Amino acid sequence: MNTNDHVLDLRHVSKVYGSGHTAVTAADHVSLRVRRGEIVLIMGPSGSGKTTLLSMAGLLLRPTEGQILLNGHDAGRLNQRQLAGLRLHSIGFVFQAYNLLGALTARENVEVVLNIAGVKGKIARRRAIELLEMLGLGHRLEHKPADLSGGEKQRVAIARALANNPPLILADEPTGNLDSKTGQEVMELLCCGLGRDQGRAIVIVTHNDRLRQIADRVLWLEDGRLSESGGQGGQSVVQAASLHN
Amino acid sequence: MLRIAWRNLLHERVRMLVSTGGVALSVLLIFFMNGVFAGSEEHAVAYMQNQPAELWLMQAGVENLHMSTSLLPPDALARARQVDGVREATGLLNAGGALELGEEPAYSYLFAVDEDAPFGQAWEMAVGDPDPGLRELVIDVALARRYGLEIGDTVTVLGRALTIAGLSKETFGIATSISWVNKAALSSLIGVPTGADSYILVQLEPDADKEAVAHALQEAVPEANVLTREAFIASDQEMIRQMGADIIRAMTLVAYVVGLLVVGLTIYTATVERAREYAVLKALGAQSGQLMRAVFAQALLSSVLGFGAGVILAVVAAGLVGRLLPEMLVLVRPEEVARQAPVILAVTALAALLPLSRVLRLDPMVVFRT
Amino acid sequence: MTVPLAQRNLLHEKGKLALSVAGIGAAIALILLLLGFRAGLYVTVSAFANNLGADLLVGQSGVRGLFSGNSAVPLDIHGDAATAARATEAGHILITGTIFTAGDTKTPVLLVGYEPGSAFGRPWNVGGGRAIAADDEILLDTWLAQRTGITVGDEIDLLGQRFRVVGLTRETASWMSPYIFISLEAASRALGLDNVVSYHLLQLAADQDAGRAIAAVESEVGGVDAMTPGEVAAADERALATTLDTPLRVMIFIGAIIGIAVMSLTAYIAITDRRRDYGVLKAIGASQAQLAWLVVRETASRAVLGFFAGVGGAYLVAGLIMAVWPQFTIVIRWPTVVQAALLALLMNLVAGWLPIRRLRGIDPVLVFKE
Repeated sequence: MNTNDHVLDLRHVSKVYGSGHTAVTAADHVSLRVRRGEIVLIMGPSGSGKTTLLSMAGLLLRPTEGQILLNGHDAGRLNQRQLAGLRLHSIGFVFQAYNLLGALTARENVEVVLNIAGVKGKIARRRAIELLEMLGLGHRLEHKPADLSGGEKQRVAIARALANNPPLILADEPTGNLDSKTGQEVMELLCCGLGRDQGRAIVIVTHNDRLRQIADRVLWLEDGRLSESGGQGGQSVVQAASLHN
Repeated sequence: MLRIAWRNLLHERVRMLVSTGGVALSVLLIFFMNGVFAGSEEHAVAYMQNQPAELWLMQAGVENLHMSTSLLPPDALARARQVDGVREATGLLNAGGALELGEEPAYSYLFAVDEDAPFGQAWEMAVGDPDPGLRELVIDVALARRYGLEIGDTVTVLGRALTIAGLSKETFGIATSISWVNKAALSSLIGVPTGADSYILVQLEPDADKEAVAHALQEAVPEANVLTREAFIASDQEMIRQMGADIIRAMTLVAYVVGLLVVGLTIYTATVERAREYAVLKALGAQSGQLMRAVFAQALLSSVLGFGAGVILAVVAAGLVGRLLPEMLVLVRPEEVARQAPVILAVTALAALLPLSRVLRLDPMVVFRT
Repeated sequence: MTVPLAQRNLLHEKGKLALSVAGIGAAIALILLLLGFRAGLYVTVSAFANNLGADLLVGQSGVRGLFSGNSAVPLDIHGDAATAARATEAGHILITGTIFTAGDTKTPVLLVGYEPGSAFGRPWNVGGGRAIAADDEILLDTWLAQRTGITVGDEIDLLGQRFRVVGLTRETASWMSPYIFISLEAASRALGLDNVVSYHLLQLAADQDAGRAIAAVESEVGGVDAMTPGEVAAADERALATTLDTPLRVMIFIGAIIGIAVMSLTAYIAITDRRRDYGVLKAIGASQAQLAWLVVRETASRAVLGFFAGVGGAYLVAGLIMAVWPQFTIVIRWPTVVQAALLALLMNLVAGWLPIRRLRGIDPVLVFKE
């Protein structure tokens, strides 16, 4: 197994909230490896621990046990500042609620992420415009989120996620607030335009069955068990686990 | 609606604390200012209140003790004593002066009565003699403490070095301090004829008719103005009240504007944050009037709590200030609290206006949007 | 950052920004008004001293200001003093505090008795009417006349004497003691003084050094102090300071607390209202330092805007106060503004602490919640 191929590597990761007889195990020795260019779908009923899993994969939550490697870096050895830096350059987030900054225009929402990474001025601006045009929003650059449709907002969010060219995209119900047509468009963007073709790994948490079409692997969480649900190829490297909420 | 308002307010405890605090501080400022003048009023008349004289004589045309100049002829005291119904009479000579205490002058009234006077001296002594000799002085104990002075130390007054012979109590005020000097010394210092008095304090016989004696005194000393103690006290208090009235009004206005803005800001942000909830209520059938009452109730609750907290803070601050700075008597009077209470209601109503307009403009259709 | 995130955040909700800026501005304005009131009092207190028309004042030894005690010097040292100082011209004034009563209105005033026709001690700005020419004439301050409903031509009683109002003066209004002017002769009579004046006023030769003149007068004439008008004004300011500084400082302190509270409140609300945005930025990879810097920029911008609003507001309100209540002089000069700016900076630093701490507690995991 060539670990360089794996962008994300969760090794026997557990998360326990509380202690003693009130302790709740949200993740129990979960292991998950995602390769570059791979699209992994994680499906399951509400409250099955998907948020916990996504938070740990996104380096927003430290596990109680286990190891998380992102792009070869052991997250357990890094402090908060270093984790933030790793997130900035290695992960792009796409949220169900878009989470755009309401005070900024579409262009500025993308540009600000570049600024945070140290890219400023014309270079940042140009890259932001490039991304938005690629996503068909060339005519909506200076509009604020309040003036954009759901689909447009999600495309801005995707552009923002791609700004620093991360090897991993984590998407939480990316089509959850969209109509079926727009959802389909976003799906295609994730699958082809941005994911596989560009060697990016994408982990999508969703209830939307239609997204199975684009996934290489589908993992199912229910009653704490993680199993493969059949995708379009690829090997399952998920081990048995109980994922409760 | 009051319950919604109360729960909304409690939901964000820190915000409630800060908005209540902002109002409380504005109210504190207002009562503090009022209290300084009320305290000054109270302290200014302490001398009259603590002397057994029921009638007071002063130069015709004069009606006050403070910030006044009064001079009666040298024989006025003798004439007053002759009047029927007068049990005792004392002459008081006074002048404004500055005690040179090192670098800083401390403004103080200089009072002087005859050495064998039955009253008119300091009414309460901490230590020492209330009757200063020719080169002696009685100052307030708290004033002495402030400048590290003791019995036997020297203070320069009107160019003359005087030795502290006694320390009095309750005679230290912002602009109403009293120090006692020898009468002969004061006469020569301020250039008045020996024996002349500024005021004559008259104590009546137990069964004397105050008005009749006052009338008789007026006839005996036509150069004088005769006032009862009550009228004299009221006159000085009124003078201080009038001095303070305008400045209090001006600063109170500014303080209320600050309070208004603090409440307005908090209620505004709270309303905007809860716009969706209000929209849901509208969609469910709540009338605009009901929602307006909820917003208004929230503003009112903030203001009432803030007002209460402000009054408590003012009382605490008054006590604290009085302990740290004994010359500052700060009085928080219940009638002043009652007077300001309706004003706070008006401020509340104003503060609620901006968020009210937002609530009215809310479109209940918002509930169907994400 | 080239995206002006701080600016965008501030301007995104203009209503909230306006309220915050107004709140901060009001607190700053309050402080400036209090400081300006103090400065204005100093101006009015020293107004007469600065317009005496004399180079030297010779008064009773130990009395070092017009407000801090009654000076009394013999009239007949006039010649000696003038000679010792090599004065080219000399005059005298009587000056004392008294209460001006008209109906129910009582106003403490500074009564000036000067020699009509003399250049010394006369009112320097007569608005309506004319200067006094006889012993039964009086000049009142314009505000005082307005307040008591007196006009030129009216007759009034003062210290048992009757006077006719022949003119109204300007630049003589004061919250503490406006000035009124009568003849020196009338003042002597009213005050029962004989051959006593408050000050001899001397005009020195162009080549005469004030310091040398002072030394000469004090050594050759016993029991007097010689001062320049500047020294008299400074002494009065010091006396005023010991009286007023304490309550004013307490009020300024309260004003500063209010300012901090408003700044804290607005900064705190800004963070809690945009919890989600900060969570998103954290999730994306912004460091704590980057976010803290963002908060600092926003808080500082609000404070700067509020400061300028406060300065503008203070000038405006000062103008209004002086128009409605002409006895107040509020002087806001640039050193006062600088003082307020430094205070505002300090307030801002204190106020920013809590919101930045709050920032630390924002959990980026909340970005996954709806």
